Amino acid sequence: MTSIYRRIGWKPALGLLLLLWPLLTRLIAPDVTYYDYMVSLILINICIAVGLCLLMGYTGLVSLGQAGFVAVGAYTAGLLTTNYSWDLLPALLAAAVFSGLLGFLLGLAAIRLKSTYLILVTLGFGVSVPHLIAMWKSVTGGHDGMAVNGPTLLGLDVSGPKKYYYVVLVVTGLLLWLARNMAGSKIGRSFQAVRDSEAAAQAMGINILITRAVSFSISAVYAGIAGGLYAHHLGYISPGDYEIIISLNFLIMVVVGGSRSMVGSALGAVFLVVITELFSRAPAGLMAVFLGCTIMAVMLALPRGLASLPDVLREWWYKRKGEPRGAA
Amino acid sequence: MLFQAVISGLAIGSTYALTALGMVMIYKTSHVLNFAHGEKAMFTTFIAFSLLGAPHVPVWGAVLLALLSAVFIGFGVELLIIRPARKRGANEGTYVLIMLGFFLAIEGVAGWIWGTSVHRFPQIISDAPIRFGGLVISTDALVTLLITCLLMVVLYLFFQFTLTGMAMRAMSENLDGSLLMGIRANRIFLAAWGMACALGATAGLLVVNITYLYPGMMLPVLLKAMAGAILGGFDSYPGVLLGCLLLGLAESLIGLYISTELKVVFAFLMITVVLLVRPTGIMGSKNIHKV
Repeated sequence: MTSIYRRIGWKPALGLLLLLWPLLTRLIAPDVTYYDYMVSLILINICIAVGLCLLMGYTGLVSLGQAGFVAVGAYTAGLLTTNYSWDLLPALLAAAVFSGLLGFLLGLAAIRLKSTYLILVTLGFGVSVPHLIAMWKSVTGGHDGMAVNGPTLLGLDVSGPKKYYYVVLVVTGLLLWLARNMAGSKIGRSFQAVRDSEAAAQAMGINILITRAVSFSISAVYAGIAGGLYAHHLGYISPGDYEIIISLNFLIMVVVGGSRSMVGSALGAVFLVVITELFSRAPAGLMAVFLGCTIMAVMLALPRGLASLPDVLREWWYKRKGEPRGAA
Repeated sequence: MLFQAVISGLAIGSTYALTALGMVMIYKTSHVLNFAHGEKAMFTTFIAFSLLGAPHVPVWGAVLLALLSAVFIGFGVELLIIRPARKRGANEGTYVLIMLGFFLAIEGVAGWIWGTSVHRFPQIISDAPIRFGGLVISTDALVTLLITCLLMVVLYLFFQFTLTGMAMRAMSENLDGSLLMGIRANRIFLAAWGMACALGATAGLLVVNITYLYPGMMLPVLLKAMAGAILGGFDSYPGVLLGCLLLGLAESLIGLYISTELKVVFAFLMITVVLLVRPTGIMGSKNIHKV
């Protein structure tokens, strides 16, 4: 058993499980689409987490306004498919381009002096976007939100949890593949170089300002696409879904999972969706307390997140083995 | 109308200034960007609210106890959260995330204890109008302005003439150097956190006179306080005061002439524009670490 596991690795196994998931749930619970719905939601959150991981783990910047970009993506895609009956694919591309451009401009403004200022600007952005959406009532329906049409992809109807699940799966897979390749290529390396030493990066001919803005913009693109997916996943968009507290949740995914690792960030997304679901009937405020304490504990005890737990344990173990008990 | 808008704008601006000054004090001494600053103020305001609801508690007693609890919350945060993190060599980014965790936790606890609905805070300061000839000022705006002026004078004297104040300034100039001079850093950190939280609590009590009491009440105030601080220059105390007063004034005038919905968006736009055009703010020092 272990040899098969070792030979194949966990990635294809997980891929196969995800591919067959709607069929499995159909076999186990034929009338329930809840499990497809939840896994779609997790996948959408993974998109956001991986984009944020590129920004936080690779470039070392923090964004507090990621829900703002998700909202921009959701409204761009939702309005295009609903009011102009666009296809889902161009609508998602439009969402990506729009939020990416917005991210680039905002990033350029924010990162000129200190990376700390990006936190302030993104916080302001995250608070402002729901306000602006609520104010622009004639187009967005204000606080009440608006219903989004069932999506069509290349002319095919993909509404319904099971069909839409595959759309989400393919898009997420593509985005993850892109992120992994980016991380290993020149652009990902330059992110890390800027994070580790500005002076050294500059000496290597890296434009720090542009690199940071690009990194911010890429994370915005990921959030925008995820927003477009989310709008059609829910079939409904309202500004209340993109409040600043949601941005904090996105941050928690990455920090708890481990910002230096994409797998960790993805696990963080799973963690957050599961926790949100578990606490959905708990008294108000309990989840915030739990998440707040989790993030503080993780930052104090495991600054690289849960993904670094195996390494930390291994190190601890070898240290103990190296020094017999009572020797010190 | 214009005169009243100016006065109420200055009053609102001075609540931003009190909030921002606490944040800047903590940031300059210990390099923690304290996102939970507003939430702590919200929490102590809720404490005052509960005390005022209890029988036989005079108003001044409730206010005093709320301020005291703020000081102790500040001590607690420094001792239990920030000091362990500092020992582990945390950087600015780590502190930000820790304070965000604290932000969530404290907002959650407040929501848990007092509920997430909106409360009406009992009126401590009356809003009766005072007339000076043809001009009308509401009492609460006047009291807010007076309290702020008083606190500014106290702060100025504190920074100029007391050993603790001078030590705080020295530590923000050069931490290693001030340690070599025999400054007990841990005590100064404690003092900064306690004072900053008391300032924040004062701001919270003044804000709640104008708005309502609910767990999210300080977030817009915090955002605008930071916007004002950036406008004035994040590392200069007079700059922060000036920036926040200007922001309050601008906001009040925008509310009067354009739209009240635009206030938060305006604060955000202003942060962005200031950072684009003059990132050091009006009075900030030039020697900020540049990318």
